[in-house]
Amino acid sequence: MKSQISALMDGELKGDDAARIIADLRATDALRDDWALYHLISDVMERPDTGFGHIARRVNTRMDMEPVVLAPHAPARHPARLYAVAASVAAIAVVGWMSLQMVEQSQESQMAGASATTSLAQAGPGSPPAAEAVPVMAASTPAQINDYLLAHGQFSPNTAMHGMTPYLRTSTDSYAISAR
Amino acid sequence: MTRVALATLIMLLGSISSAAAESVLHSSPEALEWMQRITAAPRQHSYIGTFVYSSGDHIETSRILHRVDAEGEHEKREVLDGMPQEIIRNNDEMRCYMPENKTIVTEKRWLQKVFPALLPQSTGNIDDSYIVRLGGQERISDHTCQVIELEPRDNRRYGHKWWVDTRTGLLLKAAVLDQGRVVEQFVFTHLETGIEIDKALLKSRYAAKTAEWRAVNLVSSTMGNEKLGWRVRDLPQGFRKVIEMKRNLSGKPMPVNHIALSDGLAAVSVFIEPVAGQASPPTPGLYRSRGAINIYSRIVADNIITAVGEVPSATVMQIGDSVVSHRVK
Repeated sequence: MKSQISALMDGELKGDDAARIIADLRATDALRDDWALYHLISDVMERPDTGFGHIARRVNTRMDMEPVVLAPHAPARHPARLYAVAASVAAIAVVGWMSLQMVEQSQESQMAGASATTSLAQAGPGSPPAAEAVPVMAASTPAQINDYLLAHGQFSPNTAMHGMTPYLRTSTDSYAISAR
Repeated sequence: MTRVALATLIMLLGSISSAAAESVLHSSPEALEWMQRITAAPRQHSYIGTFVYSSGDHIETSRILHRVDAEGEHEKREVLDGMPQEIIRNNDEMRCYMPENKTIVTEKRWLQKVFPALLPQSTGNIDDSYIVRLGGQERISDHTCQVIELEPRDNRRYGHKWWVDTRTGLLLKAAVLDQGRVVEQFVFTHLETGIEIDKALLKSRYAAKTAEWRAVNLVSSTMGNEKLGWRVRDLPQGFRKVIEMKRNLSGKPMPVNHIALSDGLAAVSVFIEPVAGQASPPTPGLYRSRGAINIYSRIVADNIITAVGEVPSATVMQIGDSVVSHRVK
């Protein structure tokens, strides 16, 4: 039956055959829906650039006629609220364990502070991750950086999920690891 | 039958519009709704669980008890591997016990509560920085989970993949991804929900022993916009300033300037303090912590500037390098 509807649509059915299908279409809801669907598909395939509005109109018309709407309810977007969500959502409570590794320390030590940082900055996004450079032990005490991590924890998305301070370790701990 | 056909039409239309949406790369509203569920879940469910954090060859196990009652959220976490550590949280107050160092760190985390409200209201949107997509369903620790994927819109931030318990909305697994490579991940190996947790279990076992411990209180005072005298000139796409403040860090003679930035998911903190008077100021350079955190220090006008955040190294460097003093304009 479906192939016949398709044939009718394509103008391949003549005379009695066409009349019979049309009679069936009149009598059966489901067939009429198939008929509409096939036209819809045909619209999309033939006019992909202009099809959207057309289809939307047709579907809207159909939905107006329908007593029950099966469309899933689309949640409204609230950008501001969403941001709030994102801020607190984040990943997880990660008890990240500090292991500081000085990157490009040797390069660093050969230059004055400012120029060294410039060279680091020039590493840029396109170059390989700095982490892959030969790690050298941190020259200064990581204690300060631990404090920074602690203070940063409040804003870290890792903290938000389960409400804990991540990366919370003591300086002695960090030393032990970075000295490896 | 009419409904079936209509449903087909709608599905067809749906697939067309999502195909159209794909071309402008919008997040799926359904996935964004899941994110709201994730946020709400810890305020709705009590649970006991064990989770594993891994990064590179490091693995660490923690136990968590989370109780929700009329007074809010109460929580105890214990790190089970290596050096003992207990974190007790009562709503926005946090206490961290580190018995081997005889140290207790306390933080009145009032910011956590108001933090979202501080964000720029009109522009704040995760969709600016990430494409949030709904994945399939997977089983984690015997719970059916919905997969949510956050693809970064550029290389200034990491990607995320979350597995959300379909029943409670709790996050059971999460991975931070750098171009598809897992930087760090976290997974519950055991989780019980819908149970009553005795309040007594939420007390620290060290609570009575801290009289002679070193106490570190992470006090902070917020500052008005651009009152610190420092600002970040060139923020990476999607990042915004959250707050400026002065902080008392342990053993510092003077408060440290702290500017917090966020793209709605990843946060970067910028710390600024004078080099003078410090016994051993941090050496300039790029540091790497375990997992997703990168740290970058440089010296500007006798101040040490340090950018810390769970973002790629290029991002902490871009932020650190663009910190300028107002007076220098």
